[in-house]
Amino acid sequence: MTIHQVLFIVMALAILGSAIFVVTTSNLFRAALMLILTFFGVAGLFVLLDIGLFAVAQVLIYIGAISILLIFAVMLTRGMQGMVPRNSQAVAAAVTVGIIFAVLLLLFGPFRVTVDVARWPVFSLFAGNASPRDVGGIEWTPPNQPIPSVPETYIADFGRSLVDLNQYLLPFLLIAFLVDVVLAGAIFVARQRRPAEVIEDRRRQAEEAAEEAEAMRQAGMAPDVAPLPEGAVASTAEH
Amino acid sequence: MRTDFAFVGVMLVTAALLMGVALIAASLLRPKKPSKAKLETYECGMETVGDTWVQFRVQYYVIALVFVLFDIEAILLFPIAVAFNSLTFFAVANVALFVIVLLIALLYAWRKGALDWE
Repeated sequence: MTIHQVLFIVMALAILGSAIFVVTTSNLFRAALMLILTFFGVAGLFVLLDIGLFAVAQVLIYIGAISILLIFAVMLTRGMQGMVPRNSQAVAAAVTVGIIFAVLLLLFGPFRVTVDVARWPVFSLFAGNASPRDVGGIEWTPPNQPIPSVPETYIADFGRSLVDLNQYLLPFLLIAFLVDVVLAGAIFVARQRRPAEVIEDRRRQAEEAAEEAEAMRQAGMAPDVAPLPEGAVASTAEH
Repeated sequence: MRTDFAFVGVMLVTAALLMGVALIAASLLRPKKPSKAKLETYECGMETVGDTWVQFRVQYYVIALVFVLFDIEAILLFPIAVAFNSLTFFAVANVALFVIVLLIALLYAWRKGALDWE
């Protein structure tokens, strides 16, 4: 075995072991920590594939930022220690992951899928004299050629493709908008409102309701008692 | 390229060895006489107060999210910076647009007071 194969096996075992720990442990905090080991293993695989940029991106974004977000999410949750979180959808999750893995393996793995519906046994009755043995299937072809090497200038190529209108410019700009939307949503949900702001908001709501009632009364079709939101100031609503 | 990362591997192994050898040697050499005081959580010599598991403030999450924003920005700008000499004006303008759109997110967070720490 070459040193690359040894390293690959070590990393693959680390990824598999930590990933299985992540989905089987009942302690969410330990799961988050073990997920960091999984991310490290994936970064190591990127190094073995000779794409150091993605390894750096993996360490910077997934280990440096996403893991921190996950750990914060665990720490933010009240009463996490006594609770034993249980995943009640383990079977559904396992089936979904299995299907996705199989599809990815068939798409990118060393397999060749041949489906010839016209030659399936039942359909062949209507399809003439095709022999029932040629029904298509999955062929496994072991990769015998070495993995193509990454060109020296791949970082610059990647950078150029990001801002190329014919390549990835649109996804590149969409990432910025996506991050904008996510940040705005998180701020909207998580922001702690100051007490002064809450009072100001209530006052504004009451004023708007009063103005609306006034306008409707002048139009001559208003109900005598305008519905007021909760917390409306009585003096504002008097006239 | 791969050999450049061999140094990272050497450093990882060295760090693991340093820590591992020190901890394992200590556990082999030290006498084991646990007592109640010795098994308490060590916190700078003070007696610990309250629960170890406290709920964090939600503002940490927003700050971490702003950090993700600039992490993504940085990692996408590095390869473009490498290719900078061969970029067209159109490409540079789009990079500027990318940065401006992300700056809008920062300004929004700033304006909404998500960056204030009370």
